[in-house]
Amino acid sequence: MNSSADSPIKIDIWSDVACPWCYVGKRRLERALQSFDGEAVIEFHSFELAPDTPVDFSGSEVDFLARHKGMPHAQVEQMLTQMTALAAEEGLAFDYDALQHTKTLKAHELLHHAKTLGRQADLKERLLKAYFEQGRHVGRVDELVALAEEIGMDLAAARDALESGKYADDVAADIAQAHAMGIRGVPFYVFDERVGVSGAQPSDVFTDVLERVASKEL
Amino acid sequence: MPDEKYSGLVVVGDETAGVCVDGVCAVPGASTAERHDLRADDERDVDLDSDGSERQPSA
Repeated sequence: MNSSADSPIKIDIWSDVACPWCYVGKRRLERALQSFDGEAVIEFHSFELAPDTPVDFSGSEVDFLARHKGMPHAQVEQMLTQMTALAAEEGLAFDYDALQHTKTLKAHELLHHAKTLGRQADLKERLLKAYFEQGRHVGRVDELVALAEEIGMDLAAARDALESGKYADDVAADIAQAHAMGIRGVPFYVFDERVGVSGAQPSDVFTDVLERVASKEL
Repeated sequence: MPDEKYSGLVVVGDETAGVCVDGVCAVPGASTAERHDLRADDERDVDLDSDGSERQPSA
């Protein structure tokens, strides 16, 4: 049974730009959707994994995790190596040496702006790629509007959206919603407002959930 | 105010797999995440009628 004759499945995703599992999970969900005999509509919601990160953090990802989280240097390096290998299995080329750790609040504001234009999915992919594969800075307004322009969004409107802070309340509302739902980590997926899936599960798990939600088994 | 449309959310699967928490994105011991079968006993209800800060399993 499928949902092809029914309404599209709504998938709400809480995630952060600075979240490797969110990028890996995005690929796994996309693969599941390719084989799913139905329609789905995705909406991304904001979640700041490390809100205490300064915009202009000086240091590498290893430095951040070692200094701010107290993790042993060797453990961090091993973790990033494993994550890079996992990402490669999904066709992603993570470059932690080039990565610029930063606060993602403004990136989330830009994603809300993009949502009003129907461009959220394109911008989400652009920001993740910029951050994990290209060593681009996704915390500064100038860099963010440049990335928006690269996908064809209006530069002036993007700048105004960020400098005015008019989407700050929307970001805060997303985060408050996550906390109200008990979400402590991301990515977190909600299917048709009733079935939650935590983490970048293997694509066959997403396939299973999609089929069960479509058939109303879940 | 949180949207109550998510009250009664059922969470399936292993909640500890493939997540970033508090800025740390741990990787399970294996190079790929384990397959987590979705069984009825994995499914839990989320109670949003309380203070919203904690999940409560259903009876």
